[in-house]
Amino acid sequence: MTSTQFAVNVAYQIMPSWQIGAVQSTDKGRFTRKAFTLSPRIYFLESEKRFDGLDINFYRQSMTVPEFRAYLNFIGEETVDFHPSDFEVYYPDEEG
Amino acid sequence: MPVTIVNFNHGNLFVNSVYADANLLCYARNRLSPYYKTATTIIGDLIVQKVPLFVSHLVIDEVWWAFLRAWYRYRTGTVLTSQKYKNNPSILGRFSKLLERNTNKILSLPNVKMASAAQPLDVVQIARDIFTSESLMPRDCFHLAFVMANNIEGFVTSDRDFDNLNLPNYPLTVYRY
Repeated sequence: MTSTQFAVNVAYQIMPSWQIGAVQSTDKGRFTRKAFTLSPRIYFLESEKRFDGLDINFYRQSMTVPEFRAYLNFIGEETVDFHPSDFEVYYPDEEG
Repeated sequence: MPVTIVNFNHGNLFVNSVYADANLLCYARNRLSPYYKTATTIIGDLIVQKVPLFVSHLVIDEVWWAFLRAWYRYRTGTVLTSQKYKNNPSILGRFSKLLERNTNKILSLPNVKMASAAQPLDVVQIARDIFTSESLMPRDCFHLAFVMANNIEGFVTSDRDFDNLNLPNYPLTVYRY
C-alpha cells in the first residue's frame, strides 16, 4: 500500500458520513463507496458544493454543535433529479 | 377559517410547531433540486428557532417513494411503475441501504418529531371531514388530519394544493416556497 492509499484509507475512516454519501451520489448509479478512487481534493470540493448560496456561517453560529453537525449531515447528500411525478402518491400502473 | 399563507423568506419567524411535507425533506437532501437552497434554509431556520418539525409515517412513505423512483430512473434510465415492481419486487432491494441511510438522516434532525395518531379514530374522522369540505386528495386530507390531531400550527410545503383551504375553527399557517 502506498502512502497515498494509506492516507486516503485513514481519511475514509474518520470522514463524517455525509462526505461518504456525497461521493456515493456522484457514482452514476452504482452506489458503492468510491472514496478510494477519488483524490481527497476532488472529494472535498464535491461536498463543499452543498453550501453554495447558503448562509452557513449564520447556522454555525446560531446552532449548538450537535445541532449543526446533524444539519450538515442531512443537507445536500443526494444528487438525483426529481420529477414532479415522483411525489405523486397515486401513480399509474403503466405509462402510456 | 382561511389558512394564512406565508411565502417563506430567510429569517421568517415560524409558529410554534410545523409539519413538513415530503417535498421539503427530499429537496433539502438533494443538492441538485431546484428548491435546494430554500428547503435547506427552512430546515436551518427551524432548527435555529427551536421549532419542532413534525413528520408522519405518511411523509416518510412519500420520501421513500420519491427517492426510489429517482434512484431507479437514475440507475436504469426507465420509469419505475407499479407493474414493474409487482412483476419483480426485488428490483427495489438494491436501494435498501440508501433508503435506510436517508431515513436515519431524517430522524436524526434535532427538531424532528413524529406526529402520532394517539386517537387513530380521530385522525380518520378529521380526514373524512376535510375530504367532505375541501377539494383535496385523500392522502392530503390525512396529512392535515395529523396536523390538526397534534395541534400543529404550521405546514411547510411547495405544493399549491393547500392554498385555498378553509378549516373551521383551526388557525393554520401554510409556509410555502
